[in-house]
Amino acid sequence: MKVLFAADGSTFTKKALTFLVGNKNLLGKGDELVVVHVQDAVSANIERKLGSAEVAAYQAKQADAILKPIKRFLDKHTINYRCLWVVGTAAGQIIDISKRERVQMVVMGAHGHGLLSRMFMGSVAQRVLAESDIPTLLIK
Amino acid sequence: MRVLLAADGSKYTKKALAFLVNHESLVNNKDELFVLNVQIQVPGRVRTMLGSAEVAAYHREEGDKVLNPIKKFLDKHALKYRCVSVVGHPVDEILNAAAKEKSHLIVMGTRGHGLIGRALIGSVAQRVVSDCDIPVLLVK
Repeated sequence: MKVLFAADGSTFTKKALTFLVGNKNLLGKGDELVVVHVQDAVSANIERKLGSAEVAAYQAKQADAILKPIKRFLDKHTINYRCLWVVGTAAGQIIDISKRERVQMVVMGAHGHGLLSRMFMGSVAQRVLAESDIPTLLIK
Repeated sequence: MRVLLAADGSKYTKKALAFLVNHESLVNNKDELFVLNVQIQVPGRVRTMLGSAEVAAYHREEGDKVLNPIKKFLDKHALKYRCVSVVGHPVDEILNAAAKEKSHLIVMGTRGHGLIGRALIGSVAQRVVSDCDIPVLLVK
């Protein structure tokens, strides 16, 4: 099975990873995990002020900080994976990439860094569920 | 992996079943698939009018309507499973069963028979995701 894992570096990311490697029948031999991290775009004003090179460097650094521990963890558990990160709207990018990569399942936290996390489910999870037809596994 | 499938007989139940048998590794024979159907209690007045024996028979009949095709489908695909139909509130019964069965994963439709098609995600799915700590796979 080809699985897209949306990682934002929150506690749910850790839980999702533990669940994925803990259940060998989810990601065994021949299965592939695509780890996707989405960095929010910086507002145009700030980008103009700082220069796009500076902004790009900042985003790369942030993405790296989130993806590095994930890579280390997946390497340790010998999971077949690819990591990629993009800049944009989290839900939109997750949906786009899941279609492009033709994944069979999307795994993500029920909510991420959002403030209303105790309530219902996060806005990103909501949008992904509403707009994509791919089965979505929500981890809490 | 112990999987709880919440089945209401809607088209989403069919999709969830198809997903499970397409990814047999999720519920291969040593794992256990527990299929739960929840029948909503008929109102007290109706119960008094009809008598509880009649009502129980009605619930059993309605439960069988949902579970029989599922049994046939799972038998055909040689999956090991257990089926149960209970009467109560869907969210509560799903959460109870997941706790009792020590399920690792709940599989359900994003929406069931509910009328509000506009709702991004059904109220049952919404509450299951927000109230339980087990990963929930939503299929649509």
